[in-house]
Amino acid sequence: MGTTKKVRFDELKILIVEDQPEARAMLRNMLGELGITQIFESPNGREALGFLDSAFDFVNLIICDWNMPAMSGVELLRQLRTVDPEIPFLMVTGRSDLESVVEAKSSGVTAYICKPFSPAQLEAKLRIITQRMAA
Amino acid sequence: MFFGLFLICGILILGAICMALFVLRLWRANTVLRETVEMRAQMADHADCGLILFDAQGVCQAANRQACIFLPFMGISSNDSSKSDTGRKGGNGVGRYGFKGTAPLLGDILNYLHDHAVECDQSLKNTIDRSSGKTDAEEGFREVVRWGDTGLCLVEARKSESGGTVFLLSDVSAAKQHEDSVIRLHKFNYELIQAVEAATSGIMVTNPKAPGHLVVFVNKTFCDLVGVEKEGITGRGIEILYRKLGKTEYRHKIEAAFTQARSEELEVRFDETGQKRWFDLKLSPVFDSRGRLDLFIGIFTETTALKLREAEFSKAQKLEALGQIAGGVAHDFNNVLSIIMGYAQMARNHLNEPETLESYLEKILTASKRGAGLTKKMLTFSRHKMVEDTVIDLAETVRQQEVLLNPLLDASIDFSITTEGDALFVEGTEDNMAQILMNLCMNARDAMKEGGTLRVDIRKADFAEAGENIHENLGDAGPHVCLSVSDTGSGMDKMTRDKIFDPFFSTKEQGKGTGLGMSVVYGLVRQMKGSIDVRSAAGQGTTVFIYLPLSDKPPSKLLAGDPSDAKSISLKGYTALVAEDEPDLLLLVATFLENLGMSVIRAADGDQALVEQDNFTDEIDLLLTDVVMPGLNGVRLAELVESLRPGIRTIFMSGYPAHGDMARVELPKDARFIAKPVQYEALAPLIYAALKEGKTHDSGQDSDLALPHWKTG
Repeated sequence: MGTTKKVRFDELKILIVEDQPEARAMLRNMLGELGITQIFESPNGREALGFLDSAFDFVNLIICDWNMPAMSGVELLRQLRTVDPEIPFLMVTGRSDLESVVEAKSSGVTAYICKPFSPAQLEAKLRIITQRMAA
Repeated sequence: MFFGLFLICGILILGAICMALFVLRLWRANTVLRETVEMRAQMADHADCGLILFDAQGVCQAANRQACIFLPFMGISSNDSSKSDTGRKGGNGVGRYGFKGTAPLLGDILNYLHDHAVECDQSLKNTIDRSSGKTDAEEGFREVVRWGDTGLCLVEARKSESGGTVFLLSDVSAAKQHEDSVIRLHKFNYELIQAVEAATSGIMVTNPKAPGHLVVFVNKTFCDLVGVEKEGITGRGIEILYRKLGKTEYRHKIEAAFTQARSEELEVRFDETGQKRWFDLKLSPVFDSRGRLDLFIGIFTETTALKLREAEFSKAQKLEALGQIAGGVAHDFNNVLSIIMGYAQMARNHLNEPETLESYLEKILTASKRGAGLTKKMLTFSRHKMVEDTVIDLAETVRQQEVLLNPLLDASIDFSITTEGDALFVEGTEDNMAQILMNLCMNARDAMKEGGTLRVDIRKADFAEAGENIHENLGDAGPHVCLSVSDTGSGMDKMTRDKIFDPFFSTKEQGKGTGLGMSVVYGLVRQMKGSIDVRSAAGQGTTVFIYLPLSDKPPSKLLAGDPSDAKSISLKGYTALVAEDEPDLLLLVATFLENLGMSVIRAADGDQALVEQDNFTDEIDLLLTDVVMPGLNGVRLAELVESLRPGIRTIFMSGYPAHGDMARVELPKDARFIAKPVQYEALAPLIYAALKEGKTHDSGQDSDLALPHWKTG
């Protein structure tokens, strides 16, 4: 599918942080359709932080659900930003009203995507992120 | 002898002449003296105060007319003032207190004062030694004596040069009254100022006649509310208030009130410290006795607590409505799921029939979009946020609520929304309108247990047609929009109708309603400066008319002009995203759109367009894109942008023939297309038509094409 001048989709190394196994599986499949094969998964924020601590270089994009038990996506982002203020972060939100979108944007995410989303929406967001990574 | 006789005669004649001259002179001197005495007496008589002169032995020598008025026993009544006794000496016409026919003595005067003064100052009494008739008056004194019921007299005694005593009596009633009223006024003024300072509203007085329109007074509360020092605002021009209020909108309203010398009421919002605060500012002109503008009084009242309470109240009611919606949506969502599951299962049986498979998948997608639209609307409805009033299209806002209302109504209710044209702009928020409509429709539904007809109608209205049933006339005259919700349900008798706006009044069974619905409607309509008229009778259904003033403010977006005349078209307030890799053409097209009133977001290619639209949080109405661009092509860009912004309308520009395959890029079947070189006379009507058409893909909310009838079980 799509490629960009600077970062191609097949160069993306993605960590999915999502508590629901079905949602994780669907994301993995959608990313596969876009030609992305380097995918890691974490069921919660704490594991994700542990994984990143040991294998930070294996990941160049994080896709994370906002609503998770124990540690929310926003909290994970906050902790992550103290270590790496740059790493691209795509927030998945279940809320699509304007206030939630503005809140998501102002929390320092690179992009956000609202559930339910289509493969086209995911592709658009990844293109936006890779453009920003290149900039 | 003759000479001697002559001499004697001469001497006699001379003597006679000298004698005559002497007598004449004496007569003249006497006349002058009489005139002088008379003149002095006249002067004394015309004095405001009474004068009495005593000799060293304390015997009255003279008194003027005023003295006789003060002391009637002096021998003249106050009415008999023509017969002035001034200047008459000892007993000559001057009566004597207790001793008629003899000149009064100083002691008599003092005794009289003592006896007749109603409230004689103690010190005066002490000065009088009644037994001896001698007084300290010989040393002089000055006292005020109460005279009769109301009169006050200042009594002064002075030693005269000849060793006698001069008495002066002056009526000081008027002076005293004046002094008393000044004291009273001062006290009243003090009390008023205390009251004004203690008021919980800020009070400001300004002088519009002074250059720069001076602030002449502010109370403490005003200073606290506005955040100024008293010294920093009083005596200064009104400009300082404008600066404090911030927004130019406030300034314009206030200035208009000042120049037209009329009252004005406005809601002011401060969020300087990050915390929102609301105030009511009421300005009233004060006119002088000749009807000229004299002052302006400003009353500044904080309404933040009220606003927050209103929001809480509305939140409580919203939760109730949300509960109902959740029930309705769950039912509807099951419909959606059953369509998805049904077609998915059927699709499994047709895996080797691509066409059938595609049509089933298409139906699944459509149903999913519908489901997503439902949850989105519900989330939007449930959020609690104070939004500032904007200019909204009432018809469009009401139409958007149809998706939430439909699932809540039973299939036995025939529901329809009719609007008289569009662009019926009112000031308010979409949230509030949604709530009003939801509450009214739920009441209508509950009144039609057996089914019936529910009509929502929106049209322009003359305010005067609102009948006598109007609950409260809150609006001004002028063009209005009427939103009416009518049902064919059970209706209400007069008693019920009179109570429907009371909080917690409910006709529903216990536990079925909070009784807040109509009072919330009332509150929201009042907030929008509208009026409500309820017409109903038992058994004859109910119609609620809501009159909202048609806004004269320009709507944020305005489609105007004649589509057949490109030059007349205006696309004010609409936003376009233009993607074109040829810089000159990008500039030309963008400038052209800006001239039509649009805001333009420019992008040099498809990927940049994607990023730019992501940076832009507001609505984008139009995507105008080149078809062939390096990287992401126009068609793919349109697909991606439309997936993120479902309401957007797309127009393609290309140098290749409309559906030609020269660049191996195929346009969608019903794509809007304009050929290069772009003819601007053709582009403007094309954009106009695209925007006018409405949002065909809006979140899938309105696209229930593939669904069975929505209201069936």
